[in-house]
Amino acid sequence: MPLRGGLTFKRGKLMDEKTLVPSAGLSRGLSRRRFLAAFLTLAAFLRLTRPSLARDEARADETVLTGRWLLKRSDLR
Amino acid sequence: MIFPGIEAYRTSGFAAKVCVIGSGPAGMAVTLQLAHAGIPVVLLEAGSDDVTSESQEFYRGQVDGDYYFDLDVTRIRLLGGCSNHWAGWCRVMDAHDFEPRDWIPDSGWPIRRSDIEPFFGLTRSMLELPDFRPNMPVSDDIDWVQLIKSPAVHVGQKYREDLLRSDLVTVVLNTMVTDLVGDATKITGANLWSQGKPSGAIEAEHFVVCTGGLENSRLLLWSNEKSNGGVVPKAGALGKYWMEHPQFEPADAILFDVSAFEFDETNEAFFSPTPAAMQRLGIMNFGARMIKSPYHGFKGLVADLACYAPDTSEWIASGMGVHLRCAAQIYLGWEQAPYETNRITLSLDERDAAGVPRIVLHWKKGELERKTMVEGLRLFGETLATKDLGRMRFEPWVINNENYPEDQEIAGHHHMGGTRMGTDPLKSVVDADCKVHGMENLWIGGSSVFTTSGQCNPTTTLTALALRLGDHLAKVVSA
Repeated sequence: MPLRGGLTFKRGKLMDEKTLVPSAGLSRGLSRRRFLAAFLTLAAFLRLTRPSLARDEARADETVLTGRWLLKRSDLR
Repeated sequence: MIFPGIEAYRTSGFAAKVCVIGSGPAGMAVTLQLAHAGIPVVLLEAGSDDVTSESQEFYRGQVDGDYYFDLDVTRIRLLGGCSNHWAGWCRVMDAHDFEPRDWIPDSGWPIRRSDIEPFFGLTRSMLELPDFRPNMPVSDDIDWVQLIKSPAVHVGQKYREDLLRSDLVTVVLNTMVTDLVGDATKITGANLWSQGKPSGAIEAEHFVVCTGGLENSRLLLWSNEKSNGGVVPKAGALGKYWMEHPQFEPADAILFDVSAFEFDETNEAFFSPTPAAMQRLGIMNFGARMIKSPYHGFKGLVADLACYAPDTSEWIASGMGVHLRCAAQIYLGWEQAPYETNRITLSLDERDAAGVPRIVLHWKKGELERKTMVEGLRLFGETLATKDLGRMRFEPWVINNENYPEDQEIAGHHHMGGTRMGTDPLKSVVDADCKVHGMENLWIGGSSVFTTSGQCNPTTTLTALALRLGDHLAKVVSA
């Protein structure tokens, strides 16, 4: 499906490590450098928006199933 | 010597004391041991040097129960047997796999791992394996375990030249035993189908059945039916307690410190529960295969994106109709309990070209298997979390207690049980020496004698067991 900037991912290949980064997802409009910079920014943003997996120094040993994730209590905010 | 059919064998004048039926790893191991002891052996192989569709046709059968592989696909019929299409993954069952466990019905072998340990050296030589390494604790509940990625020796090819030159071993290809003939105390002969036609019988002092984890039961069930119980006189367990290793991809994970694990050259590491953890939870053995992404740095971050931001990434992925996985995939293969109801029977209306009834395999996974998968995953996930090595995410079908998916590995092509080892003839077919209960000269080699299945690939254990059988039988014949 077409994405911003004319970037097109082949269906089903978005997170395929073997094909995503080099060029398979790129069709036109973005250079590799700009694509990587955009992706880094996106990755950082997504990481910040989902802090539940950020490791906590509290080191609680109790685990809990939250959704599909098996987390430590200290993972939960 | 190697002959293409039984007629050439007969004209050779070779006089065998032992007839080994089947040339896979078990049959080859028994044959090599007997020959090493100077005992003349005839090794019968139903297939030829190559796999053919005509030969595979004999393996067609029916499956009743859980989704399973076609029976003519899950095994292969030629010199070397199933060693011709195995992956070469090797590990011997753990010592605790042989012990009785009161939370697993009908568990407990009549032998211990120490009984086959003297044959580990020969096993390694035959399968070309490095030294076995002990388990290493990751936590109180989980051990790192060695799983050897061996060169996947094809025993037919490896030993063909030796067999060709041997004065003590004669291999007869294209020769199938349709049925053994017995009088409830000993086997008096075996009827043959060679090169596409009925071919009389063969006699020997001892017969060793090594035709595979499905075919052993089929041959003995049919032989017993034709001989009115004269082949397996105590047949209460014959064909029963058949087992597989369920194998699925029920989870993935994000890893914080990959250096904490010992990954092999294919980025895989293997983990199993400790005996104490299994007892505490009432579960069976399992092997968790963790495959890590080969990427580091930015590429690793991209590969981990689905896990670092699961809600957002799953929302994006669902809009695109794709399924994202974390950078570490978790495959689980685990032990199946021995159930009497999981069994091989003979088809009432389907026969092969030689007139032998085809197999009907009745196979289902039970509650204990499901519990082992779920609790095993939780146990492994807790070790990752409490040790702060990573976090595990379950697949929706596991969380929602849905049916096992049919588009995954399903099982290991590991055919175990059917002629299991034990002391009680009502619940077993062979004794601790792999001799059929009540028979003087009928022996069974291969994973069909497994009492329980453990969690690991069976070839290494069955090879060690067969080498032990060959060593024992050599002493019996020589006495």
